[in-house]
Amino acid sequence: MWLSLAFALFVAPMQAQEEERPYFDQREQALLRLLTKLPQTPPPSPSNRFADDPRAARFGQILFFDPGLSPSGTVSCATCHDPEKGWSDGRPTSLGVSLGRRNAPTLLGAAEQRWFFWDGRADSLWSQALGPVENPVEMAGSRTDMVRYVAETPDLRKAYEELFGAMPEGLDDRKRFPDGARPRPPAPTGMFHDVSDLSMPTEGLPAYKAWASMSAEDQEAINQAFAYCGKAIAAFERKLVIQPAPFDRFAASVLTPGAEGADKDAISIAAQRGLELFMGKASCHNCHFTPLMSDREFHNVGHEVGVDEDFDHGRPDGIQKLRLDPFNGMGPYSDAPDLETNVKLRYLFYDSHTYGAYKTPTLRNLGRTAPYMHDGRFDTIEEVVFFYQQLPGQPPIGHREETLTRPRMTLQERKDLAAFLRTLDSPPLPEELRRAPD
Amino acid sequence: MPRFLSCAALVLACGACQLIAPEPVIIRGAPDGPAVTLTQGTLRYQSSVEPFPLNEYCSIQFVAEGTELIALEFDADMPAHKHGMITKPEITWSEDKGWWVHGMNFHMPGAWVMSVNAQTTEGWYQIDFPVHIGPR
Repeated sequence: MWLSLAFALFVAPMQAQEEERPYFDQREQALLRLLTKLPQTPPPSPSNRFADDPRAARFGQILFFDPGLSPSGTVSCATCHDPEKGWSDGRPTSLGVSLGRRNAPTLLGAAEQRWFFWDGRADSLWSQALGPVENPVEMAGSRTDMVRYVAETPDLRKAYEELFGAMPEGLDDRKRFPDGARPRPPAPTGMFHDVSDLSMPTEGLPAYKAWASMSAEDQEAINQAFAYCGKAIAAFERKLVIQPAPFDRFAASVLTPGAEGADKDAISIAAQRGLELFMGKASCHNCHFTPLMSDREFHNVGHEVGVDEDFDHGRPDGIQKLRLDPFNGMGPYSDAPDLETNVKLRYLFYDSHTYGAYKTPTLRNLGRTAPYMHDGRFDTIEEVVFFYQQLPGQPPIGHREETLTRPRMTLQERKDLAAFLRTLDSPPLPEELRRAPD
Repeated sequence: MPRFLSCAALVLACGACQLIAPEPVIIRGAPDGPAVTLTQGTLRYQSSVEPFPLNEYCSIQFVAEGTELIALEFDADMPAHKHGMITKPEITWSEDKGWWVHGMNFHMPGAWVMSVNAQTTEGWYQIDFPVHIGPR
């Protein structure tokens, strides 16, 4: 009798739990292969010949953590990409010198991305790094001030010149290199303009006039030095490689049982059921595939906007800005401006389907990078999952991605899916990458 | 009378259009089948990366056998998603390399249809090549 009781209490429940473990069929295994095997070295960056230079990475790391790059001396790259907050900032939208309108994405795995910013207005990590310097709500600085700051800070100047050669001469001449001088950003025109561009002609006028007063040679010297600084920051950011997460150890147990690190218990049974939903009924994998858990492209998921909010066109503005950006891969500061290298720019398509579309974010380290969506409207993973189940309202512009189909999920299934998404958190990077170098 | 004249003009105009632009032959290829039979000869494609890669850039060559391909138009869509590619492919021709479509990117997994308008010396064809991208 005691034996029967022990069986009923301990052995039978364990067997039941074993039975609940989902089985991943051939199709699911093929999908799993797309999601795992994280690259531990970033892809080549032909437009940045310093991308894998350790000296550039060290210089870039100094710049990344230095608030001196902003004229206020208060905002660094790490302000919005805080290593202790999953290389994001934990805010719905970022706070630089003032409040921005988009959420700061994590930098973990950023080098794996194809496009940068939520609207993809940069095509390389180094050109992305230049954007916040002159953004009026982020650092609110200028390329001229940034280059002068590097030139006037002995350690920075030394590191710069060891890598890139002499800094521009005469930077202390304020008539020749006026404070705050920066060119007017090339603004998209026509009906697809970004509302934020409307204020630029008047808001930034003194800075644009100051830039226009400089000689073409001096403008070129500043642009080149500015680009070098961006390339150094990118060299550092390429070191922010995503580490394997519990999900990866579980996936290895399904795909290559017995392999080093494979662990079928690395994630809970609930999370395993969530993974099955991710690749099945919920169809998350349609956009969130690749080991980055992102297709690295753009989709309109159909967020409504409130009556007081601006329209944000997303990708179409990004495409226009990218094409006009002198720091793009085919521009004069690229180390590989040829057509053959710049395939993604060459065949880029300005498509009406992308109105209201934003880049598919990585799901890696999701648990550490709340809040979510391009405007940080959801505080929890559960809210995001519920949104995709309900798909409320209509997008203010464009049309919602047709592949989104309101999966009918029970509360338990939504919890399972959220449990799976939390298994994508990987261990933090080494401490020496999470601060300015000594 | 003017109505009769308009109708007659319309009939004549339609006839002229047919002479200028005859109806295309519509062909639906076999799923994942890289070749179709034309009225005369065959048309087949070959990807620069086999099988077609998911979410990566690739090129595709079109080869006509038993006929001469003299013009080509190309597009690709995901009918279930009601959208096409994220790229605008470029069609090139050279005597030594033949017909190529460059800059294709099937950026999502699932069922795609490559739509080809092909003009050969014998006729004009609208061909759909269904292809499946990614795991089935």
